[in-house]
Amino acid sequence: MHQSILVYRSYRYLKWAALLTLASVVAYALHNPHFPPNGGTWLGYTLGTIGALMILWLMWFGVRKRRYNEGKVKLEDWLSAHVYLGISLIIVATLHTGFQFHWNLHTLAFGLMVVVIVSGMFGVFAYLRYPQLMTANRRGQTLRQLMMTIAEVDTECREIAVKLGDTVNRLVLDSTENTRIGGSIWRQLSGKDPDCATERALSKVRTEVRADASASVKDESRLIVLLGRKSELLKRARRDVQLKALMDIWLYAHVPLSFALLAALTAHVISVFFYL
Amino acid sequence: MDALVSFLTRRARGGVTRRDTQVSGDPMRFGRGTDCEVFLPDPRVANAHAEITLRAGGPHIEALGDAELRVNGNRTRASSLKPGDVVGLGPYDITLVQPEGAVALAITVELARPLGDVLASLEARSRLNLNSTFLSRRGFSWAGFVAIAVLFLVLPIIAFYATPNTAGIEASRDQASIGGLFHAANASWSAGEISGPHKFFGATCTACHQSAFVRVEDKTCTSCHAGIQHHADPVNFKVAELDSQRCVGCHQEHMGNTPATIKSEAYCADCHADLKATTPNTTLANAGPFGKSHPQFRPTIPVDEAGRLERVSLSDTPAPVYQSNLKFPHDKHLRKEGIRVPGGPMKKLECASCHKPDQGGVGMLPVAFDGECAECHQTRFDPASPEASVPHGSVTRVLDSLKGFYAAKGLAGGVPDPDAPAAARRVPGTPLPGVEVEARQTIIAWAAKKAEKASHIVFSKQGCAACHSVKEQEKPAVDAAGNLLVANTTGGNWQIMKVNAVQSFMPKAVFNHASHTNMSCVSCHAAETSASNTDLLMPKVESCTTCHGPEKASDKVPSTCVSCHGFHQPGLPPMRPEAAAAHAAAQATLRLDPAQQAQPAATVQ
Repeated sequence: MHQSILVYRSYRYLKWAALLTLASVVAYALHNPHFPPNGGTWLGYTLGTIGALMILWLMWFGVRKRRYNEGKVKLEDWLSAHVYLGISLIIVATLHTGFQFHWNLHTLAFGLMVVVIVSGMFGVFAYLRYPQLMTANRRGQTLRQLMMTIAEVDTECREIAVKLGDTVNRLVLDSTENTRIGGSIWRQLSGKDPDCATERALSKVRTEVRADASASVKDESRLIVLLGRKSELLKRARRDVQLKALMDIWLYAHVPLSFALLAALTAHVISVFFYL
Repeated sequence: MDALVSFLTRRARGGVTRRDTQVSGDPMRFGRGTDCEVFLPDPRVANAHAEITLRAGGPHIEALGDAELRVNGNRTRASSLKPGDVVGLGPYDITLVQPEGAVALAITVELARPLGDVLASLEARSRLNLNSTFLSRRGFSWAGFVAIAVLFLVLPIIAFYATPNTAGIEASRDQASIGGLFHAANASWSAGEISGPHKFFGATCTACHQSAFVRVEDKTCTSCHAGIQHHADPVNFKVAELDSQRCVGCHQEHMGNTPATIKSEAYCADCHADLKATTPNTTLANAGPFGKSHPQFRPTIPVDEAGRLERVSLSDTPAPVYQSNLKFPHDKHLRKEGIRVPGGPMKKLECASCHKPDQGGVGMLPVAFDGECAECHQTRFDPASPEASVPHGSVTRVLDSLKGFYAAKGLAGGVPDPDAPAAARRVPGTPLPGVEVEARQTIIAWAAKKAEKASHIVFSKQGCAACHSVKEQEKPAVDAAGNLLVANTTGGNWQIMKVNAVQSFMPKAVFNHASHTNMSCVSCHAAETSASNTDLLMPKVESCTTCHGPEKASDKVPSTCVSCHGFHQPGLPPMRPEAAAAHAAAQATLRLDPAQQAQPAATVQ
């Protein structure tokens, strides 16, 4: 049975993460360094080492997920632990800083880490929320099937339009030749096409038909029904693209910023020991 | 007009099928409309797209409405045609051929550009996922990684090796030698704000960080702080922790614009909480957080007339006696109704009437007789000469002044005293009688007697002894070599005990009066009720702990050990003797400089 990664194994990894967080907080509270709390005290070094190792381990997930069936530990375990330990890293790393934030590399590394984790949190939300919406939106069809249906409607529209007046025919031709699904990043994410040829055709054909009393009413009303159906199908297809894009977009922040973080972390660790 | 229209269709495996139809009409119309002679069922063709008429010069084609035509590839509205011409009409190519038989016109019609697969073209136009946009996880990852590695790792390391390696103040002069980008790169590695006193060279990392991967060394600190004193006398108190301690162990930089000094009371308590256990020969009491386990204050005061100093606890019973050798009842001087001033009204004194803060406001200036006491305490000695007074000074000065006063009077003449020699009683302005030398000696002998007599008034309780401890000894006080300690030519042998003034009652701590000016003096010093100057008017520790608490106090002024005590003790030898020696040598070289500079000047001449 499918189980959400959040409740996976009865919150095993949530418990681990909570334990790590609690231990860090208690240690920080009891810690009474001679200087203001900072990354250079024994607790600072300890939390920093834990944090750095966690970042490496969390990033290893990108490698592990490509080898789906390898390893003794299941990928679901990895993902569940990745999510919970990733979130607990915010606490561990913040305590490591001793709340000393400045305009420097060290805070840059911290900031990148926070952005990566927050983008990951959106990812968790996306993976829990959007698949359901996608299933509901597709009504049992794949996107390709939706597009095939749209193509069929297009062909039918054309067959009818070819018998009709030039203006209507041209509008239908425009609708079949220029309608597109998705497109730029923003079109995909918004799920809308403000310049949709089909919508344009639909509204203009309606006006044309009203103006032209002599029209063969049967063909034209059939055309309007078909264009309406196409518009409906397009909305679903675009919504599907939108949900997919929303499910993917965070990874374009999560993954590259993780690598930027890896560089910043490396520089941070080297700088700390370089200028000991 | 009759025409032969041949519809050509190309087959997938090559070859052409041909369907001939004969049509008639004049003009002959081409279009999507079913009423056209040549019916072209494609949405890209207009209902009535074009027509061909037969003219004298041959067939002529003309576009209808706003339709478009291409004749032999050239866009046109109308054109005459000859066999071999190809007319592009929407997706169709219409080719004129030589008519055979009865027909006037023969054409072939081929759908040259059929409508593509609707699905394929829709898919071609659509971008269905973010991967097909410019977004690239791999590309962005590389870009981010490389950019950050270059800006924040490579550049700062280059900056380190590009900066001249000079320590401390010298380094601030070398800052200009590296470029702005490197400066920014350097700054990005800074762990936090530099403390105020170090800011002026703080932008140059190498000023302190002389070698990579090496902790800041003591010699870097002592390049400026050469003579910094030890914490405990290194001869009598051999403390391993102190010898092994590094400067940066207590002085951590990059902690903001506060002194880079350890402030934690726990750090001091590491040793001082149980100092007696680790250092049995110490005279210090064990001490912990202020307000919790800080011992009673133990001022250093003179405990006998000779001024031997001793640390006494304010908790001692009986109360410690402050042997100042001075009689000064604070209560009488601070009476509410004031004190009598010779020849004037009652004067109300305050603490500040005598105790004036020093220029920094930290301590108090010494109270001096001439400044604070003389207005009331006059040093007159002869009721017959009320204008005359002796200076406030040594016994010798006082006695010499008395003798001088009477000798001058005698030599001037007119002394009304019947016991005075005739020479002194003569009419003023007349010559000395008899042999002048003898007359003078008589006057001087008389003056010495008068002075001796007056000294009993001066050194009495009406005079010096009102405040000072004055002794009259039978034998003159002499030192080991037999020299007179007090010049005594009159027979009197007065000794005024030296005032045991104390400049700092608690020399191991600093109390800043300036930061306590909003409090009244008597809230700490019980002067109003003190009848004797042997009272020690120092406040007890409880007086301070009313307001001050330990480092983490939430309801009192948080105060740590270093709020009052310094770590490096003035008067002790340097903590890093080798640095002090090097510094002294450098100073000596500096003093030699003018001589060294003179030589090249000579060569020039």
